Formats: sequence, C-alpha cells, structure tokens
Amino acid sequence: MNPLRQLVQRIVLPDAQQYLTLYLIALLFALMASWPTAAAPVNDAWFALAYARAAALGLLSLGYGATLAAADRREQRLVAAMLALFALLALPLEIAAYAASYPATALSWVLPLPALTALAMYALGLLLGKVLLAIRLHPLIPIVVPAALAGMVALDMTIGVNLLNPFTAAVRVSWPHLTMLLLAVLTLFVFLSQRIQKEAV
Amino acid sequence: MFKGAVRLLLTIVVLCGWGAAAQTGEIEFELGFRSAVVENAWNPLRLVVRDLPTVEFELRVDQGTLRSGSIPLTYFARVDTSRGITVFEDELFIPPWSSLSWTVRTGARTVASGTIDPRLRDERPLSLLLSATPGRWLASLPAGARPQEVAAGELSERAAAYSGVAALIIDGSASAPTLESIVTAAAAGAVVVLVEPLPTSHAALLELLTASPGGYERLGAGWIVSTPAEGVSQALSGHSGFPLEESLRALLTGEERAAPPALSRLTVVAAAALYALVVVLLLRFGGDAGIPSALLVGIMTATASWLLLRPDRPVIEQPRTVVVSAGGLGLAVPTLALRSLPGGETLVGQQMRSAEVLPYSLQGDGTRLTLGRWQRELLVGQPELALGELAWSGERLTNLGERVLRDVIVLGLGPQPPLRPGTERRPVASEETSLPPIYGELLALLPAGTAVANDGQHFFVALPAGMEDTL
Repeated sequence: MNPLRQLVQRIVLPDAQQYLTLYLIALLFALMASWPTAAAPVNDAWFALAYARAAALGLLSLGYGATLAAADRREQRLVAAMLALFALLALPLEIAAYAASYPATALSWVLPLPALTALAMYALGLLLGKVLLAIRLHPLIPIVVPAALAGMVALDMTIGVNLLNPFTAAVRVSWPHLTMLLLAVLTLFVFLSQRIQKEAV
Repeated sequence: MFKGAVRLLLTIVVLCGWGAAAQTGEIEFELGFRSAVVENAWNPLRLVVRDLPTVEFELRVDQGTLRSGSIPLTYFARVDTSRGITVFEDELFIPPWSSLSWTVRTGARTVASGTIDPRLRDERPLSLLLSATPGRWLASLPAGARPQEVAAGELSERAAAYSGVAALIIDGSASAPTLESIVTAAAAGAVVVLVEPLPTSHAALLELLTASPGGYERLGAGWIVSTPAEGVSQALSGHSGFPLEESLRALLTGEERAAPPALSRLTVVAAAALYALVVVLLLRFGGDAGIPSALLVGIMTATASWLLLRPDRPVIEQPRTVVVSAGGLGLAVPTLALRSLPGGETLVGQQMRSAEVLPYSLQGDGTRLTLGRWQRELLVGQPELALGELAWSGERLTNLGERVLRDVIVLGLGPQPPLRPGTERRPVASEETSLPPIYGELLALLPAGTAVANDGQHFFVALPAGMEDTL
C-alpha cells in the first residue's frame, strides 16, 4: 500500500478526526477573540493565533508521541506525517492573521515553524513515553505531557535563553530554538529509519 | 644678532597665534528673537560661522520630566561653508523642556557649545517692538504680554519664525522693515500695528491698507492695523491672530486616521470556519484525493487571504494640509498622520514636529522617530505662506484652485454646494442643518462668516476679510 493511502486511512480514524477538528476550533476561537473591532483598530490577531497554535500543536504532538512510544514503526511514522499535515493545514489561518497584523517577525520564520514544532514535540513525546514506560509510570501521561510543556517554559525563563519554549519562539525569531527543533527532528528521522533497518534485517 | 633672533621668535609666535585664532574661528548662535525662546512654538534659529570649515550643529532638547525620564528631541544640521562668514537659518519647534543644549563641532573637535537656563522657559507669545523707543509702547500692551525689542534686519521672511509672535508694533522711529517680512508676520498670525504717522521710509507698509478704509485688514491668519499712537492698546485688544493650534487639534485629533483597510471580525471568522469545515470534510470523505485537495485548498486560501488582508506598505501615511487665508494670502500647515504597522524606526521625508511628547530627531533627510506596533502619530510641519484656494471675493466665495472643493460650509449660512475649480458663488442660507463630521470641533472656533471646504487632502479656511475681530 502506498504511503499516501496509508496516511489517508490513518487520518480517517476517529481520534485523528477529532483532534484535527479540536485543533482548528482552538485556532478559530483565538482568531475570533483577537480580531479587532472598529473601536480598537490595532490588529494583534496573529499573536493570539501563534500562541494558540504553539499550545495546541505542542500538547497534541507531545501527547501522541508519549502514547505511541510502544507502538509499531508504521504507526509512529504515519502519526508523524499526520501531525505535520495538521500543522500545514492550519497555516492558511495563520497567514491570514499574519497578513492583517503586519508583525515584525519574518514570514520565513512563521511558515516552517508549525511543522517543525509538531515533529520536534512528537520526537520529545516519544522520548518521554519511553522514559515513562521504563519507570512504569505510563498511566501518568495525561499529567506529564502538559507538565513537560510547562517545564520547557520554566526552563527557558530560568536560563534566559529561548531553547525549548514554543510560545516565545512562536512570535520571535530564535536561533537557539531553531537549532533545538532541527536537532529533535533529525533525531526523530534517525530514530525511525534505524528501526526500519532493524525490522528489515 | 640677539635682537634679530628675538624679533624672529616674536614674529613666529604672533603668526602662530593668528593661525590658531583663524582656526578656532567664531560661532554665534541665537534661538528665538534675541534669544527670547517661546515654548510650544516654532522659533527662529540662527547660526553664524566665521572662518571655520564645515561644521555640524546639534541641538538637544530634553522634553522629559522627573516622572517620565528623558524624552530627547535632537536637531542636527550640517553647515557647509567655505572660509568667511556663513549664516545658517532655520525654524525649530521648541516643546516644553527640562534642558536645552547645543554643540557645534568640526570633525571631532567641539568649537562651541552652550545651554539655555530652564528658568527662562516661557510659553507666552512675543510682542515685537520695532522702535527706537520701545519703552514707549509697554503700557499699550495687554496684561501678560511679553515685549521684545527687535531691529528691522532681524525680522524673518519665513512664516514659521512668527509662530510664537502675537504682535508686532512698528512706529517708524527705527529703520523700515521689508514689506515681505511684515506681510509674512501678519499672514503667520501676528497682529501688525502700524503707528501713524509713519515716515516716508515706511510708506510702502501703509499701502497694504489702501483698500481698507477702516485702517485694518485681515491678512492670512493675522491682521495689519493702522492706528494713531493712542489707539495701539485698543488695536491690540480688538484683534488677535487665528487660533492655529486649537484648530489643528480640533481638526486632526478627533478622527482615527491612517488606519489600514480591514475586514470585519464576522467575515474573517466565517471564512476561516468555512475553510476548516472544507478541510475536515475533504480529509474525511475525500479518499485518496482528500489530502492533496485539502492542501490545494489551503494554498488557495492562504494566497487569497494574503492578497486581501495585507496592507500595501508597512507605514501608512495620510497627509493633510490646513490652509488659513484672508486678504489673498494664506498660511499653510502641513500635517501627517503616520501609522507604523510593524513598529520600529520610521523616517519621514520632511522636518516636522510631533503633536505628542515622544523622542524624535530632525536631520537633513527628515524626521526620525521610533514607533510601537500599530502606533499612530500625528506630525505637524512648519507653517508656510501659501495662496488660499478658497477665498472671499467681496461677498462671493471663489475656488482659485484646480480641484473641486467639497463639504463647503459658511458659518452663519450653513452647508453650500461643492465649488468647482475657477468658479465663484454667492453663498445663500441653507436649510440643511447637519454639518459634515469631517471638520470635528473646528467650526466652533471660527468667527461667523468664515468659509471652510476641503478636497480630501487640503482643508481650507477662508476668514472673512474686513470685520472687527470676533475670534
């Protein structure tokens, strides 16, 4: 079966449909709450949308990664592709808000960031799931995932450098954060391809 | 032999001393008429450079207070000069300030500098006295007036210099000023009082009033009044210049200007919801084509929203010029509503002042200021002489310009039809009572008989020519 058909079959599953719908509704809600009215003409809609995207995509990707730590290779690959697709499909909403808000943040930063964030958080989620499995605390995933996101924010605030915090990076170019994202995505690809070779052998 | 050596040494010392003096040169700096600075007004600035190469002049004004901290306004000018005397003149708006200092440099060397004592701050406009016996007129000035003696040669021919001048009294005992400087002073909003009888050297000034049998004439935003010595006090109390600052505030600050075009929240959210619904349905029921179709819809939506919502430029500028005229001459004040969408340093291509207290700098290439995201700022340029395109010709209103004037209102008669270029019309009482909101609170500041109109970018105020002041 070709990869596209596999992805289609994964996306039509109820969990994917529900999470995609929830993700888009979260963004719509942020857009509705922040779009300016005639009385307040300043358009800060993109900032609200970027924060909402960072939160929703971060939680979704971390959660999927943590829960699929013990899943087979095919499922992990398909979910990685599915999360990247979710990030891409929500981009038009962000571009619309970006166009009207005219932020100083470069568009070349905004365009690749959601997909990179989704894949990096997914990689981190897989690692988190492995650790929880190893110490037999897997049932704590619903608590550990948001705690991990909060921990990233707290760590960055403590060290004063934007390494892991997706909220700061959502609206401001951060080379340390980009480096961390690329490292995480690279690790994910290496991790998945190594498993493919092992299973092939 | 010994005497010869001493002479040679002395000659060398003298020559070296002369060389040093020539290199040091001489700087004369004056802000305001004879250093009388008027706060919240444009002040004449004069820099005389003698025997120096190109100099850089910098004036720093701190507009801040103990509470707000430093809010600098920096004025920078490069004065290109060859050997000899160079006179540099400009007008600079002086806001309320806590410190004011200036420096003249040539290369890395400071050749002159100075400060103005903050205790000399005064926002009262000046009453200029062009007289050999200025003390004679002090009793004629209204209470609280700020008299300042001037010479004819110190009277500028640029309207901005008279921004802080309420009156100019000329009694003919001093040398005669140029006709241009007197016309400029009156058009800029000063009440020019000619004390009769004037000597023949001043005859040209009286010709300004030949068409006015009453001895007074409104000119631009001010007046020219001719009166005997005992009538000076009455002439000053009976006439006053056009309230330019209040009018600008009334006309320009009420409206939310320089806002980018925007779609309503309902439209945007509805379109976004429709997009989300289409994407979810395509992925759920689109089969193999679902994902490519959803991505294609996404690309089309992103492109359309970009084209529809993206403002053309990051900085939106909306210029508007206010022209106040009477007697065939006008005072034009350029203004600019400015909004920077991304924020950051913004350069405006002309020297203007900020209507609000904020840091900015004036340089040869214009005005530089740092704005926050979507911050709107109102800038006001130097007032200058202009021809009023809307003018009274007897009892008829004339459009002397090349654009159709709309929203025509004559105070006391009401709204009038638009005035086409080159046409004139006698205004008639209108039954229409609703006034266009575009003028804000301006109309309440104007005397009866004033006509106002605009072409979208220029706002014209044609004051009634002859009547005694009712402002």
